[in-house]
Amino acid sequence: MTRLRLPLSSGSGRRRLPGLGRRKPVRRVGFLSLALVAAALLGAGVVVAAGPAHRPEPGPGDPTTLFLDGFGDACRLAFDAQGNLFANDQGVFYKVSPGGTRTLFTDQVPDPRGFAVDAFGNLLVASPRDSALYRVSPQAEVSVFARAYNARGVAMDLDGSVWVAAVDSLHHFDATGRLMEKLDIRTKGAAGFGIQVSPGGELHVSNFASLWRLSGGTPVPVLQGLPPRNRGFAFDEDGNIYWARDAEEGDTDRVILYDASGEVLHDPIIGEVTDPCLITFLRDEEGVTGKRVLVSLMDGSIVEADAQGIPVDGWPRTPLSLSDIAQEDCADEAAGVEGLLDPQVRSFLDVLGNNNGSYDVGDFRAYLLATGAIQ
Amino acid sequence: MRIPIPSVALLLAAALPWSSGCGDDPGPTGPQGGILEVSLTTPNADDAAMVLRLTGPGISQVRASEGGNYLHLVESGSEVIVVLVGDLPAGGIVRFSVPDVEAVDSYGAAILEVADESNALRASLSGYEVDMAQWVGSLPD
Repeated sequence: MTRLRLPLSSGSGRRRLPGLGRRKPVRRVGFLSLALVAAALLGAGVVVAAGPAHRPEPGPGDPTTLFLDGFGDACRLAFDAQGNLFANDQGVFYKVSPGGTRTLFTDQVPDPRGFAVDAFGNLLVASPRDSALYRVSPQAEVSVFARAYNARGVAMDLDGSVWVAAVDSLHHFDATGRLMEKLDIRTKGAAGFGIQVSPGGELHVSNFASLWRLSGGTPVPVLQGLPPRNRGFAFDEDGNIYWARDAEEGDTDRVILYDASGEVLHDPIIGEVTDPCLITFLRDEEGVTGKRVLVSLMDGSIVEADAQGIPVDGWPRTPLSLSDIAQEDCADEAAGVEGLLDPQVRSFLDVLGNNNGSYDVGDFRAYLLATGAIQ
Repeated sequence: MRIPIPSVALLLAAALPWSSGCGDDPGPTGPQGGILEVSLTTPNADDAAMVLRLTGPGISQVRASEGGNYLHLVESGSEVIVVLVGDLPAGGIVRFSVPDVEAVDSYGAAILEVADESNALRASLSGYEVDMAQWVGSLPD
């Protein structure tokens, strides 16, 4: 069924560029034809029951504006601490500066899927074909960070550790790539493609149609039975969940906002989207996440919601970044002053250093080496 | 003409410049500022980071003896915590100014933590010692 594209409200600024990206196959049937049939039937005295609405309804985050186009399929996005956007477009990574300059970053990662930016500014990219998590440095040097069979999705934890969704299992690595734990989820009824850590520190995983929260290592359903086309989800700082609903026949594409327990808060939160695949909160040049929300579309374009309609800031607000950790604070804590570093930062620095379970002068030395303050 | 000696003495005294501190005073009295240096004795050859505690009155201008080393201070009253990172062989590691270099016994130094070149924290400080003595020279700015 073809979705009738309605004219957007004036000033929306959104336009669909011709010839970009894929079109969704098979599902497109002439809606206008059906309307004509319905009209003919009505004229013949046949009552046609009104069907569900096919028009996208606006939500608080509408109207959307075009943020970027020119990609083929750039559903998966991530920002670094300087506000640079990285997009995985059918296996090729592009880097887009805050000023809009787009450059090819790397095409050397085999079979890249989900990815995230780690505390060192590297891209960590899941590669199921190679059963690997690849590290791509800010200079685009590619190396293996860790191994994980069927790796699909990547998320950073608050302490700089790395979670990998590998469909049947979840893998937890520290910031240097050492395996910390592996969790089986398949035998517990879940599957992991998308993965994120909530503001409450709870791991969440998704497949194309469901979302689970890990509680004591056991997946607890949060969302289930949704149209099986979702490629991931995003949290805001209240722990609410942004879910891109790429709908089936009789339904409408939109982004829905759920609370942490799976109850609907806004349906839609962003309504004027077609074939949405993933939601990403934008980070500014200071690396801070606010209320700017991007929706990746299957046609290769990326649109931005109206930030005034987004309730709260995205999560995490300031993802852990080595460059944001103040040297003075690290030095003072090494000297015994307490309370200057968050526990997650202390843990991260300990992992960076001697991994003995506490922050000490050896970890401070590792920090100085990692930041280039000493050689 | 013979001049009486007392008169000569008076004449000589009148001819000499006369100011306080002159005459037969052997030198200045009271505290003399100077520099103390902490020297390290270590059982290891790969010490790479250290936390020291210095105590005593009026400690200032703390500097690493080895110019290329990283140094950070946390001061609290008569105590100074020193974080030192770099090349730390046996010998002088830290120097500092004091208002009375003769009162070296008023100052103390203690090692709190040591890490090696792989950033591993020493599990034991056995064999580590620090001594303090006057150091002649000038401290860099």
